[in-house]
Amino acid sequence: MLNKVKKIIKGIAIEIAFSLFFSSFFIFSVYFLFRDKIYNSIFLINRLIVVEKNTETEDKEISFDSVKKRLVHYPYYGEVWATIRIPKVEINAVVYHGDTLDILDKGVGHFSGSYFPAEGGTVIIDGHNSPSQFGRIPGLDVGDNIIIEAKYGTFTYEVTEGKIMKATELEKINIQDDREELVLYTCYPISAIGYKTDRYVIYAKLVGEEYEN
Amino acid sequence: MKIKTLLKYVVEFIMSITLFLFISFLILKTTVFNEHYFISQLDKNNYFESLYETVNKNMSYYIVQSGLTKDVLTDIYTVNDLKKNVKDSIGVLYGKAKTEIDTTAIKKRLEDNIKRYLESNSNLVADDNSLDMFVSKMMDVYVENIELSNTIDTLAPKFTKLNAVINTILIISFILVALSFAYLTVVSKRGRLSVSIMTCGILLIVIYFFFNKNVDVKNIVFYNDAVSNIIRAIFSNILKLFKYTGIVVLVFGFIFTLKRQIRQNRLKIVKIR
Repeated sequence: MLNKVKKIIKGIAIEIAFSLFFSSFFIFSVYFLFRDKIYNSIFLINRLIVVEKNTETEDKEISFDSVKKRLVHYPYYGEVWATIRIPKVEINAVVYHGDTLDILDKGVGHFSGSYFPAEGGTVIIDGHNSPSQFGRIPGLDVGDNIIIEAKYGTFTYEVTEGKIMKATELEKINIQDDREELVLYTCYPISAIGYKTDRYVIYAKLVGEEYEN
Repeated sequence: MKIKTLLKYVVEFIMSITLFLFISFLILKTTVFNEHYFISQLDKNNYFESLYETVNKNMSYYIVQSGLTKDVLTDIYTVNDLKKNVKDSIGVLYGKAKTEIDTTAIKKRLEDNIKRYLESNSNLVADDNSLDMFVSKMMDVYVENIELSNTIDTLAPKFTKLNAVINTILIISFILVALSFAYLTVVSKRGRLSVSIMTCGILLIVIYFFFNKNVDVKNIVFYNDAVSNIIRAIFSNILKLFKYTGIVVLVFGFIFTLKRQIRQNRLKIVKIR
C-alpha cells in the first residue's frame, strides 16, 4: 500500500516537473525572442497612466536654485504655485500649474510648456475673461505692474505691450529661453456673447525679484 | 531516447502551448472583442451617466468665456440620447457601418435655450456669428466626447484586423489541440494530457502576474474619467479571468494527473497478482 502511494506521488511529481519545465521553456523562449516587443507594449500601455501628481515632487517644497536659475522641485500638474496680483485692474488670482479647461474652471493656469518666473524665459499664464480672472486685463497700459507671488519668491513685471490676436495665432507666441518675459492672455472681446475667436494678450518684462529664504 | 518518446514530449509541449493560446484568445474574444460584453460593461460601470456628466462639464467650460449662463445647457440632451449615440459609435469597432452622430435635435434645443435667455436678458447684445460658433462648438464637444476625438474611428480598422487575426489563431489552435489530443490518446497511448493541461494553467497564471506587476491598471487615465474607468474595469476583468481560468485549469490538470496515477498503479497491482 505504501509502495503504491509512493509510486503515485512520484508519478505526480514527475508530471508536475514536466509541466514546470514546459512552461519555463516557453516563458524563456518568448522572453528571449520577443523581450523588446513585450516591454515596448508594456511601456505604451503605461503611457496611458497620466501622473496627475508627480510622485517624485508631490511632497517636496518648491524651491529655486539661483545658480542654475531653475526650480529644484517643480509643482505637479494642477498644483497652485503662485498668486498673481495686478493692482491697476484689481486682479488677485491663484495660479495653477497647467492650463486645461478643468484647471481654468478653478483659476488662472500656467502653460506647462513655458518657464517659471526667474528661470529666464517666457512665462505664459492664461485665464478666462471673467472679472475674477483676466476679464480686466484689456484695461492695462504700458508701464503697469503685474506681481507674481510664487512659493519661492515675489516677481514684479512691467507691461510692455497689449494686443489682440486670433486664437489660432497663439502659437506665434515664442517661448524665449534667453530673456524673461511674462505673457498673459484671455478670450476677447470680453463682453461679447457666444464663442470668442480672439485673444487679448499682455506682454511684460521682469523689473524686480525677491526670493524667499 | 526513442523517437516515439521524444515525439510524445514534443506533442505534449505543442498541446500545452496551443491550449494556452486557445484559452487566452478565447478570453479576449469573449470580452473586449465581444460587442455585447463591451456594452454590458459600459452599463455595469455607469459609463453613460459618467459620460453625461463629463459632456456637461466640458460644455460648461465654454460657458464662462461665452457670456451665457449654464442654464442654456439645461436638458439639451439626455443620458438615453448619449447611450444611443455611443452604441452606434462603438458598432464601428465590431464591423458595423459608421453612423454619423445626428445632433440636429440637441442643436435645436440649445438654440431655443439661448434664444429664451437672450429674450429674458434684453440688455445683452449678441452677435449671430459668435452664437452660431458657440452652438457649433458645443455640438463638437458632444460628438468629440462620444467618439473620443476620433479615437474610435482610428481604432476601428486595427480592431477589425485584430479580430480577424484572433479568429484565425482560435481556429488554428483549436485544430492543433484536437490533433495533439488525438495523438496523445489514440496513437501514443501513454501520452500525458495532464502535463499539457497543467502547463497551460501555469502559463495563464503567469500572464496574470506579469501584467499585474508591470501595468499600473488602477492608475490608467485615458481621455476622461468615464473612459478611464471603463478601461480599468475591462483590463481588471480580463486579468481576473486569466487568473481564475488558470487556477481552474491547473486544478483540473492536477486531478487528471492524480486520477491517471491511481489508475496506472492499480493496473500494475492487478498484473502482479
